[in-house]
Amino acid sequence: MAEQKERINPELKELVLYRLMSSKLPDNIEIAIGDISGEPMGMDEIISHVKKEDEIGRLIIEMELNYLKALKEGIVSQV
Amino acid sequence: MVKCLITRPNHDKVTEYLFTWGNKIIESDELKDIDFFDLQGKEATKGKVESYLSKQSPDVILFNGHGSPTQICGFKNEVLIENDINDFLLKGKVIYALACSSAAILGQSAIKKGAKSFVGYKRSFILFTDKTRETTPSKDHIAESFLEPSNRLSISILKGNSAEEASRKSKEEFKKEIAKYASSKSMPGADRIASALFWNMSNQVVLSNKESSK
Repeated sequence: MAEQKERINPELKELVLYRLMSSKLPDNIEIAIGDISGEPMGMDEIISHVKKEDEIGRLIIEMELNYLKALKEGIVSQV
Repeated sequence: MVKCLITRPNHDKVTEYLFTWGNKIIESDELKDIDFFDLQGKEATKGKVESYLSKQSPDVILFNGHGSPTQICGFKNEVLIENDINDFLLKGKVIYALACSSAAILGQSAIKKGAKSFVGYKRSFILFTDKTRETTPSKDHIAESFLEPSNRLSISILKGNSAEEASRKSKEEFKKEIAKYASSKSMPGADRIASALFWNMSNQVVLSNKESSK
């Protein structure tokens, strides 16, 4: 039986997508997620994974939300 | 003399980066007295790892490569160490695994089987790279921000610090890099890099017989 995936709040997903799409990271910068991405990916590919909410997309959403939470709690400003 | 086994497969872009940064550890001026046994490239096989662990008993093991919650992999993702299969070979060792997610289950299992300490990552290790530097990873300053904090951990352990102290030093390096990108106006999207660095720092854990995580 397939494992039931936790539902992602659509508003939070939109927030992450907005941050990714507006980030304007240079095209030469790529992202590798060691065990699941295989080869490094560009931002367009990352955005596509987030839209699909697949394994990579869900991890990126979790990473961004963790960071936003840390920003909100002032953890990042303390580092 | 401290004996260190290091595995450095290099069969894809990510492992090529880990291979290159692993070499910086071996060549570090801070570690002239360390006796390295370097399983690099296609030498990073299960047979060679098991043989060395059985016969030479290194003090420290540095694994570089792909991983999963239950496995650490070598060349072409051959499983080198696996939970409840051969993790008993880690007994008495200090281990640092730059291998995704391997602290989640394998690390805990290794500690139960007598490993002194296991430092690793609970979740995926995320690496940003500059594709214009793919052929010269050592000159990739974006990747450097991710891999130098990792190297600091390895060097600190090999200089005799505890796993907890080594992780603390590594996290200090991560914090410096996060601060650099979080406040940077020089590169558009630098906040994405800070986010990934924060993720890696948060997921780095120290497992030991004294405490389950730090």
